[in-house]
Amino acid sequence: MLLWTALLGCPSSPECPEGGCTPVPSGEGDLCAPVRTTFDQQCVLCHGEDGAGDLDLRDLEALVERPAVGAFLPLVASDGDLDASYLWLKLRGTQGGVGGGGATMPPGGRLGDDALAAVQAWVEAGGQCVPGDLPVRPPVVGEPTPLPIRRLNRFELDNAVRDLLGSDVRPSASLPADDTLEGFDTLGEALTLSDVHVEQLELAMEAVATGFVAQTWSGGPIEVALDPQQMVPSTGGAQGDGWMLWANGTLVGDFEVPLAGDYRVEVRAWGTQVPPDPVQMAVMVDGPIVATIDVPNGAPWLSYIVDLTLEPGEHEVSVAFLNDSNGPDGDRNLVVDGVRVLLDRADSAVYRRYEDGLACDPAASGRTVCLEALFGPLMTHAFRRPLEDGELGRLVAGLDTLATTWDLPYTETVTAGVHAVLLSPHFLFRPEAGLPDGSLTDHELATRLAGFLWSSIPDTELRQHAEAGDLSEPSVLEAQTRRMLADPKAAALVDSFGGQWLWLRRIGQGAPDPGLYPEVDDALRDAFTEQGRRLVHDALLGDRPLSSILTRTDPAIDPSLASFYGFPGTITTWQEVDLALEGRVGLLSNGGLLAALSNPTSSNPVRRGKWMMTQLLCDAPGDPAPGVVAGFDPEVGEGSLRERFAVHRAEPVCASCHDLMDPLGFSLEGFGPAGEARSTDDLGFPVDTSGTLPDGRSFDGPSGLADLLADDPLFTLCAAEKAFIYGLGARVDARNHPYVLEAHARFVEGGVFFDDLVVGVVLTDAFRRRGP
Amino acid sequence: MARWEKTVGRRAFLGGAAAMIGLPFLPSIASADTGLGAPPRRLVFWYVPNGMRMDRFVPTQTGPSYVLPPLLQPLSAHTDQMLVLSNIANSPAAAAVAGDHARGTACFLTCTALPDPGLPVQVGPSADHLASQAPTAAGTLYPSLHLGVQTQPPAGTCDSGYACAYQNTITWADATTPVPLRTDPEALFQALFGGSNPLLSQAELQRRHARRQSVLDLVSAEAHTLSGRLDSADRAKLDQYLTGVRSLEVRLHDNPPNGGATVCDPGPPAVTPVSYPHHVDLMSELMVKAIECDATRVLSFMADASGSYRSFAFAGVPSSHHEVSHWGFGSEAEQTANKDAWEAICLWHVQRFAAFVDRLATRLDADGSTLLENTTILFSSEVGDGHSHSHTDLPVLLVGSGQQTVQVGKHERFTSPERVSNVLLGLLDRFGANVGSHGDSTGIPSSVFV
Repeated sequence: MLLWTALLGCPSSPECPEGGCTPVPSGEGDLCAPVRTTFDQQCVLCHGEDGAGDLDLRDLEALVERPAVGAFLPLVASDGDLDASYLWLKLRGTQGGVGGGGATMPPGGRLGDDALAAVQAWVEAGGQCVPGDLPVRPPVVGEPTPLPIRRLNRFELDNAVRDLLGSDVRPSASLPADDTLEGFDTLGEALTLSDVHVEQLELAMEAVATGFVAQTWSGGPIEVALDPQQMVPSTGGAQGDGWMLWANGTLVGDFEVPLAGDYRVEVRAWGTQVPPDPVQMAVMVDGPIVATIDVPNGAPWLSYIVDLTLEPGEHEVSVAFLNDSNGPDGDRNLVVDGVRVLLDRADSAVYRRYEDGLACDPAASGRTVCLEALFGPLMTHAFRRPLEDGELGRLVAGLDTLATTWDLPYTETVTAGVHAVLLSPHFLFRPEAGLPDGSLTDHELATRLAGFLWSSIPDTELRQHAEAGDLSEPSVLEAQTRRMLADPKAAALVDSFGGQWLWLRRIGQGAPDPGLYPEVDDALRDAFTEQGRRLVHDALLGDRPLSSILTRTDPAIDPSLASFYGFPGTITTWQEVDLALEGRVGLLSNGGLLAALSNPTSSNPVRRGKWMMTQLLCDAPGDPAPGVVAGFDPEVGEGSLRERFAVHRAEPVCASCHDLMDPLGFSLEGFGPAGEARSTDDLGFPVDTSGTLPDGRSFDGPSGLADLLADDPLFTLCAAEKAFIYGLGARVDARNHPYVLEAHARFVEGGVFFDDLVVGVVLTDAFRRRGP
Repeated sequence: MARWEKTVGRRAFLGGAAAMIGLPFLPSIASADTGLGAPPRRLVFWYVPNGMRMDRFVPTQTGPSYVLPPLLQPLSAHTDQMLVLSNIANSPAAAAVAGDHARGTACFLTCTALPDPGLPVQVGPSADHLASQAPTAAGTLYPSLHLGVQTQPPAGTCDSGYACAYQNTITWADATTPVPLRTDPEALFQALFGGSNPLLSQAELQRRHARRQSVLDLVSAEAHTLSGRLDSADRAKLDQYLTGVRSLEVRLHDNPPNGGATVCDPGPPAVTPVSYPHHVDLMSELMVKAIECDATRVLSFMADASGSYRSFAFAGVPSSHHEVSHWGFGSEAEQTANKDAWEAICLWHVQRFAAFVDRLATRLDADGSTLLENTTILFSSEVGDGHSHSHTDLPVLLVGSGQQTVQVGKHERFTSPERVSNVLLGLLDRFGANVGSHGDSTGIPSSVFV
């Protein structure tokens, strides 16, 4: 029957016995004929014999269930599913969500409505020339595959050292930059190691080990004192050794601590009173208020103590006066006399974690006993798994020999041990053996999870679940994922995932011509980056949908950005403002990103449009056709920038991509090469930010662009693909692409919130299993 | 040998107390183990991006007397130590798709075609790495050093979907192992000359040395155990690590902290670069010091990122290097303006290169010869013409006769395109690396080498 159908459908087939079959008149029941006509006229010049993309469109039958090159779908699905037929997606320009890319076909304009309808009917018939029974295609299922062993990247090394030793020494500072693949530095395939790495790692880890020993054995408390007269006031004046806030305002200072731990912040203050209320003082650390304190009348000062946990590194303390009053009853003021930040070393996170080892006295208990007490927990934490038989013993024996041979002081022996742990391949790499059934061990799963969410190593709670063996249970895994996303360490997702996907790491690299833009200095560049970071933070880890990255109009800005963006209000510090009137919408209006996607002296709409297609829609335009040179210079030519760019679209072969890229980029032409607002282009022509895409969608300016992109189904698919690549550390291929769709489904069901996407990725078999 | 020992004093050596400030022990100098009576040969590879304006770079005349074109003027003092080569091609870098900067950079010293974008990385090994494996490169602190100035990936995706590794380095230890570049002058100075810590006593230095050696012993034992459990692909990854540990072990072993009384004067420590031109100068000076002190005999240097978009405002060209190198758009007048801007950037690069050559020409080796006479530097770019991205007609200079192994003092134009790989093969051979073939090489060109 099938054979008969095929014969019927192919009247010109040589197999048709002479006079033995009745040719079907063209257009009546033969779905192939009009398709063949269309392809012959518009496609086979390129896609004929030895066709481009290894595609020959002359033989329609051969297209059914044939895998598309570079994508994860057959060209034509035998069950007539349009969305599963790559050929159809490629004609409609929606190939980006299934791993495809390049231009929409045919170049230089879409097929006419009649031709498209004919192709649609043919594809819906599963590629049969005469509609018949459609086979049921087995559902496409994913297949977990082993990932290559990979080392920690630079960012992960810094975080792992911080979380292992509570130290803020950053070993990455002297390491070479990591190579990236698919836009991320988490793919084992790209994370190679060379002699230079090892040389620099050895020195860096020695410095970390030395610092660890110095910090944990030197005894005394850690104390950082801030001089109120050196802090940044919003109001007031010097008063004795301190600072008087004579109106409501803040006194802000930065400080740095070397160790994680439970700190005491001590504020010495006094106030002048106006009855009936006492002076109200608030203490903020890194933003939020950590204490509100009533300060009674009169000098001298009293000390007010706030307990809080701090991570190593830089912090900001701010003291605020909240209830100014100045009238007939008197003048109420707050005087801050001093600020100190203190840590008893026994309250440091690292001391608590390794207390048995650090409190051990080698003179009393013996060197071996003390080394085992320290390195047992330290190695377990560093290697993210229970130690194997003999593993601890080998290290301690080696240290013992070293200490005896060279008569090393105990602290130097410990330094050598920490140095060896930090250089061990079990710390630097993530080996995965898996279980016989193809799943990961719970410890391996914990390591993947901590790498994805924190760019670091598991904490105690996560490791406890791994030890209990229940982490692989989906409910526990999801609960742990959500717990970890709520932890401050999840900011790593902003810096690393957002840093690479959305270019936060590159926002500061725009290089507008300093002669034209002297106002763009390092401080402004940093502010651009911080603005982007806050925006992405709120979308990834806050309570906003992911699309707010594109559409948000109330970002936080600081005074330097207010001035650059022409914001009329007065602001003194980072603060959320409505920028809708300034025409700044979402990340795409960030001055730094706009500059990074410009030339030094001219904007570059093609680069901006290409960035949107590549990063936001995962629909990377194909390379310029052979013989066409990239790097077209928009500064050359006459007329408005838009007219000068028209050359891109004059040639059909160029237009297939530029018809999409250019309008996207033009909508941001209201921003110049430094990301500054402008109403005329570089030759003085008025900018025109309106655009129409080949599929008919029209939009105008940054806000029209933001809505267009946020509403495009490719945006959520793309976000899912990026999160999958980043989180798993693997390219997307035909075997794991179904998992991207699985994660995407959960993401969209939940209302496009990033935490659902992360949970979706984590719960896929690709993430939880290693494969056979 | 005797001559080497006698003349060692000509160099700016420090002894005794000077060793206390922490200088490397250089066995090849101190023990005179070259046994040749002549200084060692050195090989340097100098990379500039985005091609050269060839109509201003290649002399019109060939042979020993030619008029120096504008872009070679900075090298006018060294024509007797320079061989200009023209009609040179690196055809493995050519392909019918975009990505010429990635391919040109990856093929620069490998002369090996790349797999298509998206496929696993595969190229190498590079000529500089092969040179570092030669017996003539051994006995120094580093078999080779690879320098660059690009401290972070550039703002821009890597070229046309190719892995960024292809553009981030020109050095490949093998087909899948890119060697990252050293970009931090202070760290490099430390690696070369900071073998010890001035705050530590001799006893402390020895303890530290022993401690580091023990740590490496422990680490390599663990790595071997782990390696035995891995499949072959993973083992290859871990081998990259083990190789690094081994070469570090060797370097520590060969350079004990109390090693020598006579060492080379490294001069004042390197500083943090304040600008790109400053950065290039610092790296250039460190390379000269490394050669002078015989800390290495093989060097490569990427003077800027592949396909660089850098603004050359400091050289009077505010537009980006890459943009103006695509000179061929617009009217004739506009093309001329673009070419002139591009030429200014090319000239700046040649001037930086010439400053390096000047330094080598003014500093002396132990036997009184100049460093330049004992060195050969290959100067080239990842493409020829910046606009067409050609991999033919590449700019190629060989500077320094490498102890009369290169036919310097002329312009040699090949009648049919000569392969870069053949030039590299000759350089390797004369340096002492017998590799037989390299990339797509067919044989050493007789008109280039002695």
